[in-house]
Amino acid sequence: MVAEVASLPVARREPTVRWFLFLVVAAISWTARAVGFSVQADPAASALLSASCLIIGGVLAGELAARWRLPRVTGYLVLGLIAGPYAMGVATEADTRFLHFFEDIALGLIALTAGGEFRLTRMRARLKPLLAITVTHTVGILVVVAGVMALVLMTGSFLGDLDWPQAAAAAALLGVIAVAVSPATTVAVITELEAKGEVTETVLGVTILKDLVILLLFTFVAALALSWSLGAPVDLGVLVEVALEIVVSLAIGGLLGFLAGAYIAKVDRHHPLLVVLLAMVSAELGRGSAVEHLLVCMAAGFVIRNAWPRASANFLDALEASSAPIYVLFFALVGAGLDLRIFLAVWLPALIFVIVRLGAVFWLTKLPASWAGAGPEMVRYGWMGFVAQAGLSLGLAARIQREIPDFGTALATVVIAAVVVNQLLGPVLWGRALYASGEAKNHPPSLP
Amino acid sequence: MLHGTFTFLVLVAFAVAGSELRAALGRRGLRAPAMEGLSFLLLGVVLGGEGLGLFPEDVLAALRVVVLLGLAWIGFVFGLQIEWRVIRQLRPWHRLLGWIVPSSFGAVLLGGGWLLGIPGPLALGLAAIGMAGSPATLEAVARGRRPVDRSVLRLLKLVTAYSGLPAVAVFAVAAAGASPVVMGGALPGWELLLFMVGVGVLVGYLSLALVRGLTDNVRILTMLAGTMSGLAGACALLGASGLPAAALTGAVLINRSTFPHRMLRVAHSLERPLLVALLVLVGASWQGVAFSWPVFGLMAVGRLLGAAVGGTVLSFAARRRALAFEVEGVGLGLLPQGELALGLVVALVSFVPGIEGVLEAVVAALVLHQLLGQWWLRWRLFRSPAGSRP
Repeated sequence: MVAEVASLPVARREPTVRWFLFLVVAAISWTARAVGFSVQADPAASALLSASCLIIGGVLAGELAARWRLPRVTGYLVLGLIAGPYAMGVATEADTRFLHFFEDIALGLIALTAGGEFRLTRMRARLKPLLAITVTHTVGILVVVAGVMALVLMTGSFLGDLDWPQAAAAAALLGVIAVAVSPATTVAVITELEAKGEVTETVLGVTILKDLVILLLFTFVAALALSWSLGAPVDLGVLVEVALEIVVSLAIGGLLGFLAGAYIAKVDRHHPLLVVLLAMVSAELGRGSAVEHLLVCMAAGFVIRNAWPRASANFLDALEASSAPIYVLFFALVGAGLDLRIFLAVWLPALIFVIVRLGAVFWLTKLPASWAGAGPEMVRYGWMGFVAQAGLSLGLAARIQREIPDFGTALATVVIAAVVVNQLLGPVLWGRALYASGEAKNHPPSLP
Repeated sequence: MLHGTFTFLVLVAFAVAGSELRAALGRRGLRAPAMEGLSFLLLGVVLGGEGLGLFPEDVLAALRVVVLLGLAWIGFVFGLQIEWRVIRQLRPWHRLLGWIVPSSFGAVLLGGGWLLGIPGPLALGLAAIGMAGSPATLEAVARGRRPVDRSVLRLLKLVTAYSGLPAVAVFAVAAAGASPVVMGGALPGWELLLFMVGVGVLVGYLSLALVRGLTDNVRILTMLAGTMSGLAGACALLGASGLPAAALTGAVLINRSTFPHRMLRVAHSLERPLLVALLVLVGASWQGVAFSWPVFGLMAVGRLLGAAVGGTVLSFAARRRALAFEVEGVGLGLLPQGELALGLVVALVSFVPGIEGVLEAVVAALVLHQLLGQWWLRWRLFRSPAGSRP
């Protein structure tokens, strides 16, 4: 097969032809939708047309990104952004909502992969830098970003006229959101580049630990913020609820992982079906407020990998290998959900937030990594893995909007605008870090 | 009320269960390829609104995406088996038989539909379903057995394998005629038919250009899933099933591709999960205990008559070619149907409005013919490995 592929004539004009064909597909979709909806409305058909454009365009954009030594994920995101409802409108808002059920499967798969990458034997050796970076990030980034943003919000009237307790509450919430990273992006870039090594494992480990901590931290800070802005007493009961939610999620994930691992060890068949099954169980449980979908899948992946290290190797390899098509549609849909207009509306506070966060991430990764004796590659490039923000941050923004009555909507807008920038910047930096540290196995073609 | 993800969960659980059941049957030497598909359909019925109620209507509406894509994918995989190179190697009289024998089924069913007053597009759709034979049962039964007459076996294989071609062609006409866009007078039927053909061929060449140079199977599959989504969506927007157009796409791809069998392998990897999802979802949309006796009668009796006519044509042709044709009732060997017929039934009930009870009736007839056909194949056409009849 390799020989017959190698003998293929590689036409230089092929990418251009493919892009032209993508435009033809987009034009057909647009025309079919225009003609079809004038006679009958079928939302499923329209969603399929949008999915078609996002998938085909996503693959092409991914190829283009790889040619420019960027992660394919960046290509998928940018394509989604351009083709999405807030730009060209090839994929409409209704269509992206219709395809929402697909996101649960994709997120479950990503979290399973993340948990599966967390090997106890290797992590034990990296425990010190792992904990040092996690603690420094959780406390340091929160304090630095909250402090700077408090000054910014009090001096400028970006969120309207806020008194100092309100400005402090808003800044604290921005601080906690600055701690959050996107596990999906981290895992997707690692999978795509087949990266392995210290930087990969430490960044992934910190990302997973931060994912556990962030829920608790956000709930605590949100309770404080509500108290400061409204003058109400702090309700610490919610903290217990969230802590319980995390424990229950991990326990359920562990149980599911145990069952799946036992099945893999005994039967070792139906891998794709098993993955979808796990993702679906977790997503369904996550619809009740007591369980976190991502945590369940991460815990399941962790148990499968560590309790059955040999038997799970094939399963997790198959999982990584088959994830490519799912990433295309998932990240294209994420891109389609990014609204550039929001960024343009609140670009200044959002940009300040991004820059301050970037600086905090840079120093607060270098210092603890160096102190804890991490390798030079981790000290030098590790920070680049903590820039991307996506679903988790957007989910927290939605909670801010819901829970903080006065300035919640304005604050959520700033967060969404910052996520747009971080999500576009994050995969690029993370990919660069993996190339520079020499941990990326899957090298892209050289620059054209 | 449960959510879409739970629906998927149940669906996947049954896919695993069905697959295990098939493996268990296989270990006992039993093979029933079409029956397995029916079991997913029946499981969907059990789980659906009229059974355990696990599939609320809003969920089914959201998962229609899977049904549309699944139907297109069945057509696509079928189209990938239409290799012009292979067809050209057949003798002209073989090709002629490949059209005439299925047409005998179609003609009888169409005539019967006219007598029973069944509306044109529906009768045409039923005729197309009746025409779609499958060599799968024949091949499954043939494993480890010696045929009484090899020429009968060869002809039966040829005709059943070929029958999908005229069946899909007739179904395309039925799908165009049944579209609400055509029924409402917004578009003439021939224009929609032309649109389907055009989209099929265009997407075929588009897919060909898009996958050219891609070396990774996963990326090829992703690209093909993208083009098939577009095709299914474009056809569904005009109220027509994407199955016939997708068959054309598959045919273009297999005949023009540099590595045709790679395409087939890639397409097969997604066929099974989509088929399972499709059948369970269609079963779940089943509403009420409606059963169309006229349709059942037409399909059960009409196909038997068609089999008799088709068998006579086969015997006549074989004798004209001086072949020893020793087995009687050869038409019964044409009765078993496969996944294409199931796909056509699903496409028919998904796109033709107001045809309650048709799914149940057609499926019942399909089961009847499956059993009858298997009985004939096992007891008349083959000897057991030991030489005695099973």
